[in-house]
Amino acid sequence: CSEYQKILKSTDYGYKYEKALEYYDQGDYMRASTLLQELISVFMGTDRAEEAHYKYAYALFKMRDYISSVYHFKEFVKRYPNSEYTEDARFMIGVNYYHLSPNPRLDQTDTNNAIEAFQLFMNLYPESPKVEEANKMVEELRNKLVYKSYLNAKLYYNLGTYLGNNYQAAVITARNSLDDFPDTKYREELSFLILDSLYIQAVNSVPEKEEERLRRTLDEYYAFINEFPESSYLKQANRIFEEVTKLLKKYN
Amino acid sequence: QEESPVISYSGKPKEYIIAEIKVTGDLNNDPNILANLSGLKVGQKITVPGEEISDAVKKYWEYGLFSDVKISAEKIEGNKIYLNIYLQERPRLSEINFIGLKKSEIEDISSKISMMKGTQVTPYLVDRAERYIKEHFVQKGFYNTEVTIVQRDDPDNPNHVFLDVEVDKKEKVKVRSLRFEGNEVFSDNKLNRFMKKTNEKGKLKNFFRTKKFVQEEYENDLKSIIEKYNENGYRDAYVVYDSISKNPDNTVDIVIGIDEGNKYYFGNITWVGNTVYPGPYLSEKLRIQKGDVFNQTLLEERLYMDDDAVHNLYMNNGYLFSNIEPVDVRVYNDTVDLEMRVYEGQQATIDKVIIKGNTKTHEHVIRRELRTKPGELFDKSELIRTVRELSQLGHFDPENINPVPIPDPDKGTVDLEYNLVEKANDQIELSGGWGGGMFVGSLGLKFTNFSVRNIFNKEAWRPLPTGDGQTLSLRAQTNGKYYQSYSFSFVEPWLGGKKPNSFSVSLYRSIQTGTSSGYYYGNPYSNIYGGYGYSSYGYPYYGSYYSPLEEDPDEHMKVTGVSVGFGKRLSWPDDFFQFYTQASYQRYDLKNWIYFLMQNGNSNNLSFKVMLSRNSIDNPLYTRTGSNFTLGLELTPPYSYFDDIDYSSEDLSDSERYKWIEYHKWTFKGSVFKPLDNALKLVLMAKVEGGFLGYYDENKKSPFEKFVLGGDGMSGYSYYGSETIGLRGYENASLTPLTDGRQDGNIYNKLSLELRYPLTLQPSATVYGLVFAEAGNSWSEFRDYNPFGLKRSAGVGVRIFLPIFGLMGIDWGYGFDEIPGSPDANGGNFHFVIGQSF
Repeated sequence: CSEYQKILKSTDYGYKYEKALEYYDQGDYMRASTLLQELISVFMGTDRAEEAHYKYAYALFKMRDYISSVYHFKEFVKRYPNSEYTEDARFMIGVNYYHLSPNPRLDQTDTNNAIEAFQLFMNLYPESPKVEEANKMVEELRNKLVYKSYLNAKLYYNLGTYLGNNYQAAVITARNSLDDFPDTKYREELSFLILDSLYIQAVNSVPEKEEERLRRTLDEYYAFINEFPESSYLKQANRIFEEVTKLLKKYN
Repeated sequence: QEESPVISYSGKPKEYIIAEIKVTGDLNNDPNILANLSGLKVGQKITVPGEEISDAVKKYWEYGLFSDVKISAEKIEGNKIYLNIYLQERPRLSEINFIGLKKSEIEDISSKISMMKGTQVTPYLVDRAERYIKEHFVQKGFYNTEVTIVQRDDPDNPNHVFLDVEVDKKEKVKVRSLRFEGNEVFSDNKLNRFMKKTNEKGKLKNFFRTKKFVQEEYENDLKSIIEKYNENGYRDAYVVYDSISKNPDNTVDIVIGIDEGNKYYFGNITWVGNTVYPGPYLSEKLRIQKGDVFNQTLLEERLYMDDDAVHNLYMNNGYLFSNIEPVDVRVYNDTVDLEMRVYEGQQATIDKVIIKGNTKTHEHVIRRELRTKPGELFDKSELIRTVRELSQLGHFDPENINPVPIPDPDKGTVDLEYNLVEKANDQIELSGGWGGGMFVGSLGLKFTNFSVRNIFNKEAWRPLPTGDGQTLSLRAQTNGKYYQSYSFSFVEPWLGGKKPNSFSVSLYRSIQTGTSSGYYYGNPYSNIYGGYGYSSYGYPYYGSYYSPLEEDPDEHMKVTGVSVGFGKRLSWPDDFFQFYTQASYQRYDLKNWIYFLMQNGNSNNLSFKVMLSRNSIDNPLYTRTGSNFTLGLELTPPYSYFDDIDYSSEDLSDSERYKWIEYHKWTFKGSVFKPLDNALKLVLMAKVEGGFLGYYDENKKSPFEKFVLGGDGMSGYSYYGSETIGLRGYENASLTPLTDGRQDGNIYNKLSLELRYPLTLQPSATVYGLVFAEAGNSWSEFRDYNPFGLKRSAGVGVRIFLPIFGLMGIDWGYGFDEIPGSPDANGGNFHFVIGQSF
């Protein structure tokens, strides 16, 4: 029967707590968390509950159990809004979600949760020394969302005419991406994707809609070269321009 | 005693600074800690009346620790406020006493309700306990269980309580008699039939039906009686009275009095508010005529529920906000005139398509399958088709695919959010089978959502890189002594990611050594058909093809092969067509192997295959409509035309002659499905197939790739060298012609007719029965080929599809025609079917 087993069985909660903190300081988060879990409910409503809960949530984080950890940090913030640990707990909610956030090709619910948590943290504690770190993580998380929405537009563009016209979907998805993330690093690519998709739709158009679609493409071309006069897509864009002007002649 | 200041709720809220927080009441805990729980601090600025105080009260309630919470201002001095928080703590539990239960029942329940000594007794916990106990007994058949929980103060401990849980399970109550009064249209028997869960005991007709009386079910049954009346035009029918009298022997007598009312008919149906579709067109789609029996259920089905319901005209054309309301405008004699009030609204265009819940599968794998695309009009039928196709992907739980339209009426757009739940669909197969007195074991791993791109990404190995929808399978089989087979295959369904062009690679090796006594039947079986969705993966070994004798090291056949395939969905002539092409290389290493034309040495087979198929069946499990055609050509280079070897020479050894085998092989299969009844249940399948194996040089005919006809057409072994075709009613391989004692089927054809009827079509199990008639034969020489010289058979069978085990079945067939040379091969034969085959 090891010492740990004895502690587990003990009903002297003060002693248990002392030992739990000892394990915690030694980095034995597995044991610390097991003990703390029990103590939280025992201590409920007493002055030790606050620290025990905070340490428990932290131990879970150290054990990479982010799902439980984020739950307990949230509980902590709800229960002890005025605690000295609350600022850090709010930060840790974001950090946990940051770790839960998966690669951009998967569901980004946790990425959004993380961004929201960090933003709340920065609004509440603008002077905190952790703001810079939070900002950096938000930047990284946002880049995932930016990349994801870029991938979506690109997918529709790549699908081309599979199961119907995907260029229209590409245009809408790309425009949504530009609206949602105006500072996206894919701005030039998405803009050209819109231009090219409009062009492809125009030249494959039914006669009734051809003129309108060609003119829309032309407008898009001017907007494009205006924004990106030095674009690497310039050559392709200019070819589109020539082709469109040629086709538009018959309507003049 | 100072008067508490009066807070005015009508005036403008004022700001105060908290000067002091006092906690009063029956307290077990430190007042300072309790004050902290409020979230309020001394020095904090608050508005009164305002949110801060109500939030604090809410917080206390959320803890569930208190039965009473009051926050009041003790005094106000200038802008300073002195708060008093009054708390009444909830009692804690001393002990639970169960009354009326057995010890084992108490143990079951205690663990379920998990209320420990010292926990706070809240109304929620008590409610929950009551619900749990009730559910527990209802599941055991005690529908009338009553639970009373009484809370009693513990005299020894202040603020502690006992809970007395009294459970009265009641006996199971049965129905002794069930009588109807006032019914003329439907007989008592018919009315009883409408009642699903309430039936008389002691009657043979109710042998398989429940006789228990359950109030809730009884009330539902009353409703379904009225529904049936309504469906038959009696729209005024109602239950006038019903009496349930209890008997001492725990039974009840039921009397139900019904007023049937008059029978009504549909009158004129007019449409108002419709601008998109003209009224007569809508009436035609409604398919309800003036003079039809008035049926509310049918009306609702035709308006909203059916696939071709009237409302779907709008829903499939962007009118997401549309609505149709039938209103009785005139009721005269037995006729009801209806006015259909149509609200069309504007057309909604899809804006964003959001995918959620994909924690494993990459988004593009899902998005490329979606038929609802940004920029298109909302279309309910495409939404439904998408849900069906997503469930066919196999990566998600089909019961939990939940598309939610999020409309934005201002913009006239709708966002679609697909909520998915990932399903584990990797399969591990570890199976063993007993056959012919020996054991054959196989181990298979199949990952259906593999991601090759992440193979070098260490973080993606959790435990395997997943998400790109690729299939990777590994399989090994052995009987320990003289048969081993290993195979590996990989399929990428969307090569390049732009089009659904599949790319597959497979590698295999099988080693078989002889036995001193040989086989039961002349030839082992094979199933090398394609590699394009026809893998024999997952079928446990069955049957008994091998004799249980010792291996013979002087005989063996070793086959090693590799193949690469490419499949493409075509859009012309229509989008059901597929094109598949495959290059494969096989190497045979034979030693004294008597079952083929060639017996010793090495032989190589380099072949190319093209396959054109069209598949328009509606459902792969229980097919009702559609057809499936495949045309295939497999050929090798014609070595004999250019290698300057005289193959007519008798001196040529097998190794030289068959160093590179040559052949061209043509196959055709076609099946058509047609439902024969209105309920689309009874389905007729007609199938025709044939094959021809040709040669370039008469003296260099292929020793392999021949057709083996007869029997169930399946093999538990992954085997190579010939193609097995089933024909029920005959023994395995019995319809294969022999040349010098070796199977030599170069031509075959086969016709089948099958009539199928489903017994259950639940997602958890699909079961159907079938009767069949089929005929077929195989020949070795084209000059002998006689399309009418077929061997006939007929029989019956059953198929069961269970999601975990796949398709299984058993057929009994009777072969009518005798086979020359094997008199026992025809007659009655049982055949086991495992796995889907085309």
